[in-house]
Amino acid sequence: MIKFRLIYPKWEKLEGQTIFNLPPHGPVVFAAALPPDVDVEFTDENVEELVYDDSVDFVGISMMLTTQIMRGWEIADEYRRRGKKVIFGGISTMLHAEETMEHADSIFLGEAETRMEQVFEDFKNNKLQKVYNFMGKHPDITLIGPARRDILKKDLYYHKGVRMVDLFHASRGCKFNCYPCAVSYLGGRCFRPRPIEKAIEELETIDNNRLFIVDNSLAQDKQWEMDLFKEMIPLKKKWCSHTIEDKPEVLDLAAQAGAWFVYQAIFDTSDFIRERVKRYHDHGIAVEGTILLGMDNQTEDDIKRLVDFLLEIDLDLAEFTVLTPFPHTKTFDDMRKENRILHYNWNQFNAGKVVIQPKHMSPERLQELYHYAWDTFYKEESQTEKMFKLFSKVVQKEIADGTFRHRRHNMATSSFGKEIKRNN
Amino acid sequence: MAYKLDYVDTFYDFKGLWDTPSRCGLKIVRKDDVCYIIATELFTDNPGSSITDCNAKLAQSVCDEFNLSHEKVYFIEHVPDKGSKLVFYEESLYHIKLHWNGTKFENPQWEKLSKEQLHALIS
Repeated sequence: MIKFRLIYPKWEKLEGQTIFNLPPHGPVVFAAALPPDVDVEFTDENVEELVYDDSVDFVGISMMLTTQIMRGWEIADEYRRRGKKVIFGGISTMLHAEETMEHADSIFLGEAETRMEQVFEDFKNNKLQKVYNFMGKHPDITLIGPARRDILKKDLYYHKGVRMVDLFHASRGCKFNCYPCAVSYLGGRCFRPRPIEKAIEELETIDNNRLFIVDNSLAQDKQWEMDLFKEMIPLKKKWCSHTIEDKPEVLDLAAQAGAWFVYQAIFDTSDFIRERVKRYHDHGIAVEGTILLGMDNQTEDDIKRLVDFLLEIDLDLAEFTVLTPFPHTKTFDDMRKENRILHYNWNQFNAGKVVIQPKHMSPERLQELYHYAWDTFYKEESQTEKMFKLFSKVVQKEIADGTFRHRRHNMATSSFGKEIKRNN
Repeated sequence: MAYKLDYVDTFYDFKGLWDTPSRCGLKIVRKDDVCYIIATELFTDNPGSSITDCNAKLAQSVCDEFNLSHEKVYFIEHVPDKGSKLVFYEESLYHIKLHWNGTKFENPQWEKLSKEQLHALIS
């Protein structure tokens, strides 16, 4: 057996973001692609301390966010100093491939399914390649089986006895290619839905009733989306997701399938947005707005008007970010051309810190408006209160359909593996 | 022997970053002693890297394929108007100054061009 240590580096949370740590998705999907003679041990540095273990044979570093990469490099440097081979994979490895190579024995680019046998065979034969390049070469989507959630230390993903949602995906790729997004570079410019029966088969294996369906957008193939929701109804899961189609027939099925809340990008104050949010609400689906500040079409007044608008439309939650040029996006292309990227300290590319020169204001002013947006939206009712309301909604639904599970009382005084101090 | 061309207007398939199959619009106009290369972004019709993301590699590929002298090309990036109401999808034109290090292009520097400037260059 090869003793493989898989590490998910920590990152600094966004100011204003909740304290919640969700079990990561990339590493569990990757682990499912490992050959049977690999004994994987997983460490999520966001919820547990990393102890360098010299007894491992091979180290894998899985990175999703740009803000993880510098820490990932640090971990790799230390393991390599100790004589261990290190391979990197995951979304931000693909976004920062050239730089990451300098800290790696090998980098893996692309999707893992059906490719890991070769990588581990090369490792065993001491012939690890510097780059495994599968960019744009997507594995057969029907081969994607259930993720290996058994590698997670589940008790670390509880807050005061309440279990966090588990992450799940029903498709890959995205046809939309939105301005700030790197998905088309990472997963291709076409939507690749999993066969419904495969998605359902995986959902049935998840022992958590609450899920986050992390697909980039489910609103890409109406018939597939409706079929998926139809098949999900008997499972009685409760879930949040990115955008879903807002047609009444889709929303009706989504609600029956357990849609709890959806993330919806809100980029203007139009009736289009107002009506879309209303349609979700009319079907009992809450909305968390994702609001990007600092776009080239936004003046200071536009941002203030947008925040007022969010309160008017009775948005359930809002998450504000500032426009951040992640590599391989059109935003990055445009900002680079115009020489508007202030620096390349990737730890600061967390979408909460301004790293560009905005078009209509100074970086400092945009940073102030970012704080203004968070403070104003949550002034009358705090984020905790709004989240509690949202949580109550799902509990009510669960009680109604008999799926409610009490929180774990023995964990009521701990949060993500750490004891909560009494005065907190 | 230099490739004899005065005008090319085609779709161009090239290897993008990490050799991903990519496609752009390509126009080459020879004027005096200079070849003006205009690469147009195709958005959803481009399955791979954007022309901005891999401009140095693209420029090299075009020079190699059409036997163009690395010192006598003027590379222009054209991002067409997508017809979106969002300002960042408006048409843009940039002259990309690329440094030829003897084996490859590197260090792109962008300089915005107006349509009038472009027409003056190639007409």
